[in-house]
Amino acid sequence: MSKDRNIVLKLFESYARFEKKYVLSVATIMLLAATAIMLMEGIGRTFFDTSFFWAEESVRYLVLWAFFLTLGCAGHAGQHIRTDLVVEHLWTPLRRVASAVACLLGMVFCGMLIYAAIPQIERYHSLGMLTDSSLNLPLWVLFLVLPVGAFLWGLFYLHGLMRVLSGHEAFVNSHDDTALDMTDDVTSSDRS
Amino acid sequence: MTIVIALCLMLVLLAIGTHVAVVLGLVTAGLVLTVAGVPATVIAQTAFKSVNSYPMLAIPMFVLAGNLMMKGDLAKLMIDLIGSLVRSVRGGLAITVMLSSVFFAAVSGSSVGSAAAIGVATIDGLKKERYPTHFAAGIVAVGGTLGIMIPPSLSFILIGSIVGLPVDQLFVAGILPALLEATCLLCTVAYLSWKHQYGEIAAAPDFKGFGQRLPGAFAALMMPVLIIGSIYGGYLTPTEVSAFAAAYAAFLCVFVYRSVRAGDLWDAARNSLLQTTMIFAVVMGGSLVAFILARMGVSANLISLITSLDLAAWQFLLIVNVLLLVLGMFLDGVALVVLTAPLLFPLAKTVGVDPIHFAVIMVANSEIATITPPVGLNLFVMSGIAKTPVHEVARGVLPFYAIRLVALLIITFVPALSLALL
Amino acid sequence: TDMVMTNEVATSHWKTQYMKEVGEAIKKKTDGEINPIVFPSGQIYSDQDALAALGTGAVQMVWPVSVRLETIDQRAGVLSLPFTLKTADMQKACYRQQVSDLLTSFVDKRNLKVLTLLRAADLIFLFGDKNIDSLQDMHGVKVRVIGGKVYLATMQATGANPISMAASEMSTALAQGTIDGVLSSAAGWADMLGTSAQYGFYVPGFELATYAVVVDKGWFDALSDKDAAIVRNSVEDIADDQWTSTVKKDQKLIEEMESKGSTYTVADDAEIQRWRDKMQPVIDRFDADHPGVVEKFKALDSACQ
Ligand code: NA
Ligand code: NA
Repeated sequence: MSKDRNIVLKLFESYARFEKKYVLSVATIMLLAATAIMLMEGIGRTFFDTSFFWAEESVRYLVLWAFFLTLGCAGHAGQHIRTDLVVEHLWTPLRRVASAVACLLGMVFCGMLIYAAIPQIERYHSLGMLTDSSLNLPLWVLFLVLPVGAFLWGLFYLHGLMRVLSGHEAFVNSHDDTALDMTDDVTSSDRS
Repeated sequence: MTIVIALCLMLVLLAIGTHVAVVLGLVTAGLVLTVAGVPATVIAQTAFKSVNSYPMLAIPMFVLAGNLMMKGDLAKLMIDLIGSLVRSVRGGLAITVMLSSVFFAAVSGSSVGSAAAIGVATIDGLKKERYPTHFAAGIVAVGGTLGIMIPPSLSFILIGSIVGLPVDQLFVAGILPALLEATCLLCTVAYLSWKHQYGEIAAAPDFKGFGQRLPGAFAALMMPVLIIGSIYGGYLTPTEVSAFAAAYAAFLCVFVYRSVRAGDLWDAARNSLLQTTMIFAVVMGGSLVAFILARMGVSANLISLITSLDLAAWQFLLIVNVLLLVLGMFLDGVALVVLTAPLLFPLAKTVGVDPIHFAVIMVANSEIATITPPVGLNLFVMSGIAKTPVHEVARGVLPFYAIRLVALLIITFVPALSLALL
Repeated sequence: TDMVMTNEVATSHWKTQYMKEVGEAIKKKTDGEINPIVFPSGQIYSDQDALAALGTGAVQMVWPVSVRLETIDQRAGVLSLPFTLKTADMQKACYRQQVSDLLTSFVDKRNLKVLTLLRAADLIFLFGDKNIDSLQDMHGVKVRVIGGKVYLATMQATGANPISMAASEMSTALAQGTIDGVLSSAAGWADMLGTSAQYGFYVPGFELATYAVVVDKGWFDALSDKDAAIVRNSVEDIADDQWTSTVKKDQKLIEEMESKGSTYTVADDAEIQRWRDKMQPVIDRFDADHPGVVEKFKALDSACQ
């Protein structure tokens, strides 16, 4: 494999590490905050007869943001469901092609999400629609997470494609021992 | 015609190893663009709203609760407790594992979560007592499926939020069918162990050991009681209780059993989020499919077709079960529910099947889908934990299929089983 | 061309039936030139999402609860002010038109148009096992209300503790006592809550909820004058009938609930006056926040012919 390609791959690997370290952490904080708010709402209502009017909405959007932001991370961790039963039995070069196609399709889908999101964001903006509760958040801002998340997810597929091209497996599966540490050492996670 | 082509395309894309979420979303997006007068924005709006649902928020929190209990070795606690009584019969450890699966199902919302927790805690022990690896992995994979029939259950939450049914009632509806399934599985484990003379037998029931272990396990045993109690006592809503479950699990692991360090909580939360993202991604793809089926009028046409066929309820249910079993081979439990619920529930209504009963039938099918190759998450997970190929796990699961099918038929044709407690 | 109409209520709800009737009328009168398709029970969109899809070409008409328009322009909240909208006035086509035009004036820059208003419900308080039938009793009870600033402020003014809760949790929460009551409709009582709400309490005139018939303004303006008139008239025909017939339908539903053993109380004149006095600050506050809107509303001519 050419040296250039390896540099590109290394770049992707450092990005994947960055994503795991920061993006996933931010999203996890969102999930934990959502959990805390939900508990607080339950406790507040039961013991103090009060309800926080921003609680339901903020919990919904926190989890929604956490989800879209981690589509790429989940890919790197081998979490997305797929089947390799057919592919596993293919002749290696064919398997490569299949993986490359799978990555390309992933990129097309992410591209489509972004392409579809932009006019909708413009519409939310021109409508000036705000969320239901007292939070008064503009929906177009909340909606931004869709193209952002799709972009990060698309990067994961681009990374996968690069890996196939440099002779690695495109995806790992979470039930492989090393999957969760994949981004720490890309090559070690390849299944023999 | 377009739909048939799309369906074939989906199968091909799945076969070449494309992620399920991408296959569902991409094929649908392709269809969206072919329908005149449907702008691309619907793809974005549908993807966004698919996960913007309050009841579904329970999913990450129940996943987190399950992961914490797994990290905190709560499964081991249960196995030791139950084992002290049950180990004296042939196949005692295997039966203990199955009983522990029942208990763990009552605190965990997912099938995979249950299997992983029990598997990590028992596989080595089972192997040490000379249970064949395929049998050991098989019983854990099968036992794990109870996690979605016994409340709390992610599948019931999904169905509730997709179809609009009260989750608390769905939870209650699952209890008797789950007991039926658990009984069937226990009998099969006992029979197989006896037939093949698996495992070792302890001399006598260790009542003393049981008494000693009980106080320690008490806080963990209280978990299902607290979860169900706080809903029916009017303290928490069915969604809020998931946050409580996660908090209680964290409290147990860090302060009561001290089996998890505070830092591990963070890791558990990160992994839980990733697992949630996996589920939500499929939900997102499934909503896109549901949107296009509704928008192209496929759903409405199917309903009028079924209505015109004038099927009896039992005929309809039989067809549905066959369909779900076949789809269940290629899809996992979550994808199965997400894809078929929006289509099948209106149909069930037209032939007069109670939606809550129908939800239970659907969950029973998802349980089976989770252990049916080629795509079955529990098989994958147990293959990883038992360090054995997927087809070996499937071999271990094989003897259980027949009994699962019998249980499925009973659940399908005895509505009272699902509805009696409501 | 297809004209997509969506709603989020069950197929059995009268709103779906009216929507289908409107669709059929439009199809017939335009000789199929416009082909309305109704997607009920949130099959493709919730009302809020459909509202956001107006103008993208995905949806052409939706009938959300008018309070939803508050998320686009807060002045639309004027319709939700307590003791403001009156059934007797709204039963007149000419008055409905004025109210619709007022609403349109708030949202037309957003490329939306309100064709008419339909009656959603006279909101009633539904309580689980507490028989609450006066302003005094309202103090401190936990009542679930739907979103919208005006509803929230109104509930606070009654002295109750307004609770925000997803609709999906409402029925369980009431049955288990997580909340004491909800502000809902006769249909909500009969269809969703059933006997888990044992007590109904109605303060006449307190809150009259409406559905706004909203269309994509760009789409509507591009229609030929003939087609535009057909769409407008088809909806208006329904509205005429709907404003009287649903009052009766609601009455029937309430009688049904009473026959199942529930208690239904209607506030007397003295009680209504106490509510009116207590609610005045909500109106004053809205007036201060959105100057001129209440005035404009009051200036609408209810004596029109
Ligand atoms: Na469970
Ligand atoms: Na399967």
